[in-house]
Amino acid sequence: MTSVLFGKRLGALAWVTAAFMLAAMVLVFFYAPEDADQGFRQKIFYVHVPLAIVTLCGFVAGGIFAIKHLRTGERSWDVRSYVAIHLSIMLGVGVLATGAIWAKTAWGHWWVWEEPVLVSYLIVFLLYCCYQPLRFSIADPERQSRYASVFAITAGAFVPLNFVAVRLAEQYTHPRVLSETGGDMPGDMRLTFFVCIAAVALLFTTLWKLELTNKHVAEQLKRLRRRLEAQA
Amino acid sequence: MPLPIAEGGDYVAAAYVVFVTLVVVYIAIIGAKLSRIEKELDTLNELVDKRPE
Amino acid sequence: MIAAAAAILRKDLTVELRTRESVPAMVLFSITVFVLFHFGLDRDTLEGDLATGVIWVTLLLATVLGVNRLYVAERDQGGFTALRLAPVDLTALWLAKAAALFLYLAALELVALPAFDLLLLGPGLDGALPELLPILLLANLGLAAVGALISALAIETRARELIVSLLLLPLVVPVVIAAARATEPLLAAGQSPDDLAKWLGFLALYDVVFVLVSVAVFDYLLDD
Repeated sequence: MTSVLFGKRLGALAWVTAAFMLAAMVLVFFYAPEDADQGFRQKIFYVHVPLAIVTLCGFVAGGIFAIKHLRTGERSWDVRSYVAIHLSIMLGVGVLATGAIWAKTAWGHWWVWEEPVLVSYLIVFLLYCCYQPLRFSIADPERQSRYASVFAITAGAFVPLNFVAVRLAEQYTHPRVLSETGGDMPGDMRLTFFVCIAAVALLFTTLWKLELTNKHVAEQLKRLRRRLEAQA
Repeated sequence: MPLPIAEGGDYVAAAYVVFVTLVVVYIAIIGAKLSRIEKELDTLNELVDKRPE
Repeated sequence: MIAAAAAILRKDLTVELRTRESVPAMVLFSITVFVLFHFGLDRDTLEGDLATGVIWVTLLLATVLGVNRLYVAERDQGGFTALRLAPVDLTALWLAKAAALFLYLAALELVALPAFDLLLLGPGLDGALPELLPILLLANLGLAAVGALISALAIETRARELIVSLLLLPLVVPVVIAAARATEPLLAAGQSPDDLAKWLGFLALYDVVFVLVSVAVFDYLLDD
């Protein structure tokens, strides 16, 4: 892991993220029109949906990094996979929380089965909750990385399948509420949406790089300490 | 029953608060790790200083 | 590799026939769960979506029982080491275990479904049988593939049985969704399945994806 520097261009990335987040907030509250049917509470979508999309991509990315890890055997890929999944789980709590808040405003309950995206996300979330316990129940570090990668790949393949299954199941019984704001969105709403997705994606990448750099520094420090203590 | 438009504001605010809180919590965790690294680096420097050259 | 897998499978089936460990336990478990549902739901007969839910959840929980025991013999008697030393593609082990699990599930369903028909099902199973078979076939295939993979993943961790249930159940939710939705009209009096093809197609897709994933990653579980 010594030849890999994770912090490259982290500063520039963070600035770009800040700019996008500012732009996103401005667009959401001052530019995007209020939805005719749902009113002001539709604004929750601008944080709930981008978070969901980005974290799902994070899970799949974790699987892709895991594939690279198994193929090359380099630990740096495993760390990238771990941080991507771990960050997605954390923000995943936010997806479920904002989803519940939105459900409360739209349906009057904190949870509804009518929303296929939310239901599918809960299943994915439950699966990934096992990732860290699984990792830390294996003592040997090399085996831990390998098994974690196998899990990440299996779960990553599962995410799209699960989404399709839940969509198919709800299709005939409940109309998709999200499609109201999905297909026939007016242009300014659509722009706002894309900027929000970009902002959250950049935020995710920044936090991901931040944690990777942090971990790397801690590990390098441990190495340095061990070498110094050996010489003393 | 969906809420009347006027009362949506609280919930929208709650959703954004959740989001911001999560991000800040994450930064706090990284921050704590960073300060531990700083302390470690300090002790390492002392270790090097104490070595007979 | 096929020959090696067949040899392992033959060994497993012989052991199972002699010790009668997994399949009778799965069958007994299923029947007990039917009784539990009778009391829990306070019903004498079930049909339609309730019947579908009960039968599929029961089958799934019984599958978890079977999955838990899949690699125990290899672990306790050094089978893993032996396989690593042999000039054999390690994926043969997965193939054998998946095939064994598939056969156990088939044996389970052979007994559990008539039992369900007898104990709890309102409308009879006979009319539903021709459509039920492909559903069961494809669902069993998916469960067997994922079960064999997850069981190997969990075998070396500490809280083995817990990890299996926690990992396996979310992963097979799509199978339950598709199988249940496909079976539902079959178990309701006088309904004909309209979108059977859609669900069978999805099950086939799930099977293909997870067979491919399992074959691709299984080696890495045993490398040491």
